[in-house]
Amino acid sequence: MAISAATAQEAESTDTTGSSRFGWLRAFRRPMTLTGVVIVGVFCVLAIIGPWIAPYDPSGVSKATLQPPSPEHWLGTTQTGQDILSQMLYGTQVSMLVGVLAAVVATLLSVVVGLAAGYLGGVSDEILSLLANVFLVIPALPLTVILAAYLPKTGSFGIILVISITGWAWGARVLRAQTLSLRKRDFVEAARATGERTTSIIFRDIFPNQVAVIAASFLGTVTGAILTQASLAFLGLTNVTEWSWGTILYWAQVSSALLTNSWWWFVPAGAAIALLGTGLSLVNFGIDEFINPRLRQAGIGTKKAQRAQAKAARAKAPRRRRSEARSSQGRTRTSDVILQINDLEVDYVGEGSITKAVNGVSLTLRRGEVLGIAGESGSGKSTLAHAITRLHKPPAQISAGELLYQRDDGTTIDILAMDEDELRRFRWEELAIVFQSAMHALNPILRIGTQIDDAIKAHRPAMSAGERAARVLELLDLVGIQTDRVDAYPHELSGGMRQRAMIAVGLALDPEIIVMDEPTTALDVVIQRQVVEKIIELKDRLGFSVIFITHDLSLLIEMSDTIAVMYAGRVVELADAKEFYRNPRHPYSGGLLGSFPTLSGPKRELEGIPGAPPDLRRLPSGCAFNPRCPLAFDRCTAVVPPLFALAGEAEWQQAQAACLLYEGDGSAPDRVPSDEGAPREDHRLVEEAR
Amino acid sequence: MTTTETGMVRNETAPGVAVLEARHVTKEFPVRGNPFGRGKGRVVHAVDDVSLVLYAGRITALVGESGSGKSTFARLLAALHPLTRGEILFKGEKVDARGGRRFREHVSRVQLILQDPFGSFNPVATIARTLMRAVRIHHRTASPARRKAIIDDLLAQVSLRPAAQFTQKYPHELSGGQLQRISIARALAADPAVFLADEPVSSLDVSIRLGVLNLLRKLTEERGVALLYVTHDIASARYFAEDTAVMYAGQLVEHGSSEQVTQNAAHPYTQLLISSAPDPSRADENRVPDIGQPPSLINPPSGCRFHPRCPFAMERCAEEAPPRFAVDDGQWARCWLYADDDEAAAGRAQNARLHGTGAIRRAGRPVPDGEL
Amino acid sequence: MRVLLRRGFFYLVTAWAAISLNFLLPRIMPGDPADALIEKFHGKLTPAAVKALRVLFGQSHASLWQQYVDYWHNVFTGNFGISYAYYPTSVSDVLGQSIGWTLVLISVCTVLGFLIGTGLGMIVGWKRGSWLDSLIPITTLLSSIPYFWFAICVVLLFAIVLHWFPLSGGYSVTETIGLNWGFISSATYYAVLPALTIVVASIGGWLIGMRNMMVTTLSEDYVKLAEAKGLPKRRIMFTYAARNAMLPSFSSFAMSLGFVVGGSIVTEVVFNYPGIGTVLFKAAQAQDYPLMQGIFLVITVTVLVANMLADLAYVFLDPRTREG
Repeated sequence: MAISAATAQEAESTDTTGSSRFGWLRAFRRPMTLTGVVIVGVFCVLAIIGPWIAPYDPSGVSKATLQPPSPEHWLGTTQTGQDILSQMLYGTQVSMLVGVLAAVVATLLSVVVGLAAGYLGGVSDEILSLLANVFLVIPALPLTVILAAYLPKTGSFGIILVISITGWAWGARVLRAQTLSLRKRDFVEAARATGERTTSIIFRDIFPNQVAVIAASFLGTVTGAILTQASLAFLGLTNVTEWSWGTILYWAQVSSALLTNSWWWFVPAGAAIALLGTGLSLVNFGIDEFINPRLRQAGIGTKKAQRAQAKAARAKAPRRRRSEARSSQGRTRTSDVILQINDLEVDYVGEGSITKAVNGVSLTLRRGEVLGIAGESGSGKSTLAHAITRLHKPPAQISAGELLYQRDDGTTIDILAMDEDELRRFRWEELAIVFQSAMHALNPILRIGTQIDDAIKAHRPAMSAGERAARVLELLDLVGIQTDRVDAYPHELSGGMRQRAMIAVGLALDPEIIVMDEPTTALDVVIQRQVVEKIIELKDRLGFSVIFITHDLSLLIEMSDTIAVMYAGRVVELADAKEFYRNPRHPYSGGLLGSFPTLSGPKRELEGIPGAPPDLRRLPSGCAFNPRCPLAFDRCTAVVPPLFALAGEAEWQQAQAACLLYEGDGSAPDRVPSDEGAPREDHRLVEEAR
Repeated sequence: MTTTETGMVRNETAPGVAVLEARHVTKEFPVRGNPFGRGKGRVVHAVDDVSLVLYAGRITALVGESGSGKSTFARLLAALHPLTRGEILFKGEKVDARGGRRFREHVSRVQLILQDPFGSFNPVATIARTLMRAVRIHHRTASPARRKAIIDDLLAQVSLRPAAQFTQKYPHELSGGQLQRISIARALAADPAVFLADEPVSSLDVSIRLGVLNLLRKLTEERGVALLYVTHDIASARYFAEDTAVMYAGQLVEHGSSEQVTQNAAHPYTQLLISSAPDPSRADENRVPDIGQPPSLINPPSGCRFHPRCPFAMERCAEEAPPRFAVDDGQWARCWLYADDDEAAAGRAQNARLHGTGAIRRAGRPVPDGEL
Repeated sequence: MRVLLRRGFFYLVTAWAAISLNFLLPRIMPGDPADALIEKFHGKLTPAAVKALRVLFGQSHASLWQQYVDYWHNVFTGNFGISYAYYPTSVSDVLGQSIGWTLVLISVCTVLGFLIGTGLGMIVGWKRGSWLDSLIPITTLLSSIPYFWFAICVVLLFAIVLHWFPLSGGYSVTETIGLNWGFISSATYYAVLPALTIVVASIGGWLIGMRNMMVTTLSEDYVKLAEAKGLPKRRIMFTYAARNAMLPSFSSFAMSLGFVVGGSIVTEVVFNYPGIGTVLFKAAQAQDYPLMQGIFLVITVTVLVANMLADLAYVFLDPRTREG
């Protein structure tokens, strides 16, 4: 969830930069929506000027009977020699008038009922919802037919009334649901707490946020109303002497136009209805995509990202050979390394812009290690997690880097170079992922046991059903879920139990690596403690490696062996967890650590960091942290610091920090960090600066 | 009453005076039944008999897990829901917020700040419009130009300068920290005597939390406002609030100065909460073993609501709800361990061993009902 | 199964409301249709029929409540009076002869349309961003076409120009109605064009709804997790994405069904199909109020039953609804 929300937000803010007030206008930029707008516009104009530009009297009889289209009669003539084009032009006015007026009445009704039911709640909601549902379930057309049949056939007024009575229920239902969800939103509660009146909340907070939905419902009702009017007219239930598209079809049917093969008689009217309906639907798609960002995501950036990915896939083949060759050389030296991330870059492709969410990240994960990745929002930590598992979706794309995975037998493979089939076999068998929200990550309609079982089934086709069932129970027992809960659905478990179930799913195939993306953030501390202890216990017992991602530095220090701190898409510090806690080197790490209140020991001064995490689309020049850094000096705005190796104690991971304070003599702007470690003076400099 | 530079009249109270007082506040939400009667009459005991006093110029933390009723309690104080039982007093006077006018009078004195800054602003309204609505309610007589000046002043008070840089923006164009400051400005528009801050920083990035908390502290001290800080993070309560009350399953289980509650917790639940919180500075590895999960609030456990999870539970814990025992100066816990008898003494000894605080605590003194 | 009880209660209320509406309508409508109708038949009506007509429009001396009780009695005994369009056949007989045709045609077509539309929607949604997205405007066009007009075009093409299928009717007049091979094959042959019309015209709506839900569902974490689990594509598409994406289709089934039924009724008219739609058309032409009322009741009750079945399926598909 974390990534999709962030992505959506990113996409949204990219879209609306500049004139946010008219941001919705951009929805019309899409060719499909634009086509719809043009179609609807043309019909509107025709509806207004139709009677004036009609070449003949639509009811005027002439001797030119049943003529196919000709220069005199563009759309041909009827059995009595009436001009069909003129009938169509007059009909446009009536049909559209009925459609629009009926939709106006129905929409007004649905807005009133929907808002009232949703906001007032209680008994009024029960009654209004029941009413709407009753009208929804009663089939509209037969009811309309009956109503229309009882009414005297004086004109369109009765028809408009009849259509609106049967057409309001759907909109009311949608708006009620919307109102209910808006009412629970914080800004409505905030408005109440400020002392706003109910009417003011409804008209200023709830209603403006529903305009798009109301518009969609209105356009849908227009289509429905025009179709219904045509059906009624076709059945002869309206005033058949008033020209509308439906009446044209009625006369065509009554006069057996089919048998005389006079296709021109009925084709234009039907085509007009279909065309207008299509136009309205296309406009509605635009509105839908505006309301539901996920639908928009499917369009925007997708093509660009797909093209880029196709290009990347073509470039993969040669690179793969190279990486295999290189890794075989270094095999002996790094035998306990299981995953090597080299210079990984992940981009978000927007409309005409590329945002680097992960920028040149290199990390090493050893067997049995917990590698903690800390960072705030926008640091790229979740994007990194998704990139490692190759789960990123357009508009995100990996633009550079390697993910070298070392198998038990010592061979190395680049995860980024795998084809789909290899990737499918690799996933879960070697590398599993646990998401932040188990509620969202477990399929709501499958039993817990099934969701563990299907991973096993996919990867171990040889296992019998009985063996698999036994393994599922074993896994549940392992993570501390009572085995009789195997048939439970996700919603039947508590938050902590769901997260345990997620972990059981992750362990199903005994993977070598588990990536955990904020696995405990949604949990309360007490439950978080239980889950974290379970993770550590299982890791010690089963020997897998963990990449643990969270914003909670205190938790990370407690449970990790190595810590990587990310800021604006880069790793800014990398060190043993204990050493990191004793002596954070990067000013950002220091500030972050100093922001956490402690529970034991004497109270220390909490400092915090001024400013806010940067916008990835507008990164400051040089070191991204420089505007917030208390130790920044001139060159910090000019040079992006690489990771400098640092001196000091280390069990395994020699500390590194991406800060110019640790640069040798402070003069070489692009010095390559060496393995030797920076001279000791650097460290003192920091202490003095502090 | 004093007047600020913009001429706003302030609800100022001398520090240390009780401003808002909750007495035996209870809230039960009915469980939605169906027409066939099953489930009818059942209620969620969201807040049960909670008494708490907020003092002028003082920050009181209300700590609890999700579902403990802490947010509901804050909303009860804001009069957003009617009480089931009990009463709320503002400066000694019973609050009656039924009806529009009396409700608005109450909210002009007691203002709520919500957790999610991105959610608490109408996405289609500019900051200026949102603030203007609040100003219009609480400064009915001010002229439009005056109201503009008030908005600029409010933004200046939450350190958002220049105001023009923020007023014409939409919520999505601002960061979480900025928005949370604007929520505070919106609350300030009423010039309240009490702030109820419901998890004001938990959805913000760690590095900017301190800034917002410091702003709240500054406003509390400068304006003599009483502040209720509702949070799940007991460590932040230690740093930010003078007093801390701990809530479990709708009830207060412990209350005292923040330092007492965090450094020498008396109630086994508080101990569990503290030992569960991630804290790399912790020296010892002794943890209170935890069994189980928060209880159902529809059928809460009999006696002490924590007893099914409590490693020190005695027989009476399941039978009778414990009274409050004063365990230290100004600190009380609702726990039978502090009764004055042999069984409780043995429990206290076991608690000292397991929890590793060293000395075995003495029995407490039952607190009479009226005392706070 | 409290949900089902709740829904059952709702359908009872709806049925009551619809049937009562049917009672009220003739009584609140302006004008005097009864006299107009009696006039039209120029005394050809038997006195009993005239009385029945007056009762229908509430022109009787009994109290409104008594009329209401009598009305319910008639509903339960299937006594809807005499049809004027098919005088002197009783309404229940007319309904009995035509309901079977419509039930078979519409139920088969609805299920087919739903399956094909949802299935195609699933595939288009799964391959979102591909060339398949260009199908959307085409299906939009299809779903905007009036059913009856599409029917006319189909008749023109397949019956008049190509002579592949019969022009109208429900079966060849040489066959006798019954469970014999000749009749069934003939009925099937005659039903092809109407069925084609209804299925094709109803696919579009299902397709677009399903496609959009599919796109929304595909960005859910559980789909991402299923992919991370290395599950076969088919399992992700069906069990993880499609089964969840389908759920809203079921909850909006009521509206869609009403739409399809309405469209099918008018379609029958074009084909002169011996179902309820054609009868309704004739009834409307002849202002045969008793028959229209009977048709409305029959259709409403049938649609309610269909909706209940959809609800049952929903409960079966979504475990979350199974508890209160």
